[in-house]
Amino acid sequence: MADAGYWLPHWIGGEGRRLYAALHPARAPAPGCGVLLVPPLLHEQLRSRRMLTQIAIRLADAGIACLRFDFLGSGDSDGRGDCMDLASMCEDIGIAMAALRASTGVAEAAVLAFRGGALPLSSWLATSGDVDRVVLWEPIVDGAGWMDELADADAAELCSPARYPLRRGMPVEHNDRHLMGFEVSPRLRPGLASVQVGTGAWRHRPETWGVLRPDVQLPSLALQRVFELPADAARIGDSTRMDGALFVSPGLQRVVDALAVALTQPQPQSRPERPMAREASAP
Amino acid sequence: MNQVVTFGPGQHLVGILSGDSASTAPVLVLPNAGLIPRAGPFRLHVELAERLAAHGIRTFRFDTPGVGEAPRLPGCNTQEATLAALDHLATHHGVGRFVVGGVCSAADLGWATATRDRRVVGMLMLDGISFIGFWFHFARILGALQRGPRAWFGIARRLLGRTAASTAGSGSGAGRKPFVAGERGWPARIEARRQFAALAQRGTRSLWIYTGGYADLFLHPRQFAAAFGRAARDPQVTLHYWPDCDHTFYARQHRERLVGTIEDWMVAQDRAGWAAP
Repeated sequence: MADAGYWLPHWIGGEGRRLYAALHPARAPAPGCGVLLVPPLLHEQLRSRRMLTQIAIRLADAGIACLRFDFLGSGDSDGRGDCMDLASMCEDIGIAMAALRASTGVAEAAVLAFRGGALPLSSWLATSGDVDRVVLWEPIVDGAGWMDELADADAAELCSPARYPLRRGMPVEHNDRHLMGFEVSPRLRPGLASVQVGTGAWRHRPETWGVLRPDVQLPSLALQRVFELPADAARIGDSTRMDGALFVSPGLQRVVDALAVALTQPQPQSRPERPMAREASAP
Repeated sequence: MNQVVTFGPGQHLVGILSGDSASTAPVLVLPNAGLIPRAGPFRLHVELAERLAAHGIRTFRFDTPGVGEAPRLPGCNTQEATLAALDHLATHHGVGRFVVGGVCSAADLGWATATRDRRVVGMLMLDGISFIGFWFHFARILGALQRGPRAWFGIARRLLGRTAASTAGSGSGAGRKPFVAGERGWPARIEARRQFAALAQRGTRSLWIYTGGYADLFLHPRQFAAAFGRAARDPQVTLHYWPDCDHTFYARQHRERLVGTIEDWMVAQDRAGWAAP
């Protein structure tokens, strides 16, 4: 495993199916908790790469080991874009969770899933996955609705005068194996569209928290805690452009710190349903 | 085979070295483009790595300080990080020659590194350094005329609005930030000509592609020779102008054209023989 100073970039998974991963060892007395960061999908993954790195660094500074990874066919992982579908992503989450547990020996494992990453995570939890805690960061809960949104956004990009100033509005030919600029599998859209994220479908009942905007309610999720995002928090999904990288703002730092404190608190012995508490970040 | 490589001050920078370690061909070094992480716009660099690896050509993609996973490193800017990458590959992987570049800021790094380091035997210049002049203005006026009288009113209004905004000294909230060559570290035109002539003289090969997404800076293929002089016509220089493409090659078919063009160019240079460092 290479050493980049604060974290360790390496490969996980088998030959021909290697996933790029980065392990952030706990840099404070470890409370025995580890977090797997599940990235957002497509253009949102690259846009948010720096933000996820900064979040992992901050959690590791608080004593929580973190593992980031790229899905097969995305980021720096093996495979072309057409390798990635719902089944492969579920498999990747399983591989990454096993790698986190094996490399850190943590007693408690949590998953922090961003935006569209909630879709394969929910599918994994509905089939084979088991973790102690789940944190959903502005999750996409309606896979079909999101696929429609992306199809519209993609069509707009292909005839955007800002992107193609010399085409005079003549759209670039659409391609079914293309979405938001990325090569995709024909199985990706129907797979993601089939997912409605709901805690009721999960085989086990991990403690589930949300990191949400103040005005957002997600009735399909039984969230035990909600951390409210401040106004200066980057909106991962608000642009289709990849050249706008997202950063951890001062307000967002406070949310991540609050999340770190909460994650280091002991897990309840049982997993009862509890009323939701919303926690706003202090100004 | 892909290999994770750490390098630079404190080994804090990370790159992916792809391809056959026994290869003696120059390594294509791909710094991140703008703020887009090292996988490249829509994974362009990953696709390139896979295609070139089939020809035994290695690639190395990495994040410069402050982009993607890379921390900001005091005393190590993007140019120094690129030179650190070259030094590391030379010391630890036996690489003696490099082709450096990519899209936009990565092309700028290709130019800057080539002018500083003789180990750079090729440059990949995708929407890189450019100077407007007669042919740019000619193409802009021609384009406006071709759009017909209905478009002229809007063009005149935009031009007048831009002039009024610049006179008032205020940037338009809805407008685009005016381009400033110095912000990209470009030399003045006369210095760029001198540098390009020197690069051509030492045998540096270069592939230049300008896209329609660069319409604020490049609008006509003859603009290239007008900007760079005699060196632009050197047989070691390859130029394409693709007005139908955007700056980051969003559409799959455009990216496929780009990857194929770079692949063909790299293989052809390899067959012809690169210059010695």
